[in-house]
Amino acid sequence: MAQVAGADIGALSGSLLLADADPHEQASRAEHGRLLEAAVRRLPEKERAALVLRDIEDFSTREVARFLGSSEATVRSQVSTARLKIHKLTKQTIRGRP
Amino acid sequence: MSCRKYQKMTALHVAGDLPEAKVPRLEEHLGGCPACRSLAEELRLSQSALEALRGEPVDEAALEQVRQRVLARIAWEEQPARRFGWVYALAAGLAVVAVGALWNVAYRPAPHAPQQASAAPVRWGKSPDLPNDKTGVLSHRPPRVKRPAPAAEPLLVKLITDDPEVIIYWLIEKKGD
Repeated sequence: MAQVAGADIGALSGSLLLADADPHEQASRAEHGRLLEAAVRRLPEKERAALVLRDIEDFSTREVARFLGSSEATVRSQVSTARLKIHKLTKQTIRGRP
Repeated sequence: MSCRKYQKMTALHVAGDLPEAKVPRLEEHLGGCPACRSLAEELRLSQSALEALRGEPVDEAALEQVRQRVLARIAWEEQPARRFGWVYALAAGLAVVAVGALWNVAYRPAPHAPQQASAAPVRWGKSPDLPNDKTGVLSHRPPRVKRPAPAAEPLLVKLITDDPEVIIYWLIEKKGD
């Protein structure tokens, strides 16, 4: 697992769920949020649209398929590829830091 | 099946998007592949972080209303008659214009004859008023009456200077005709 200032990705990600986090955790959460947003922006347009609608806007796969005018299988493929890319990009960014 | 295929399945499974039929096969693979199991754990955390970007929770009823409206709108737009409604409207408009034009051609009223011409009989001979009218065709035309020219209105020229309090007006009036 990648290390960032003594914390790993799991700790950073997990801290996003804490409502009453201390300032350090809040800062980590905000930082990880920015990393995720930057990674989402780097995705190809169709994958980004599918991921945002499914994971951030919380529409169902069927609804996303209707919005984008594609099949559910295509949306599932785009979403899974996008999730793997996001994971890889954030991991690379964290690893690349001093 | 390679781990690469299972990675894509795992990315779907962490958010419950993997079809039920494929879940047992994936779980069997995860049981025997520590690398994919580790990826699954990281993806779960990453997924939680993504979901945290959803921001302020919205009232579920309001969200459902918006969703239904969006879906209804999409369904409405998907109807071919709606999508190409403007074509029908344009065709109807052109038809109305065409009917109007035909009506105008078929039932156009006779041109309004000049009162003077109807009062006086048509002379087919040479007109004394029109010495060059050799055919006599023009002889029934009423003589042209020169209308008095409308009084020319003076032309107003407004000159704005650098000083906002000084504005110069010129009134130009045409003399004579």
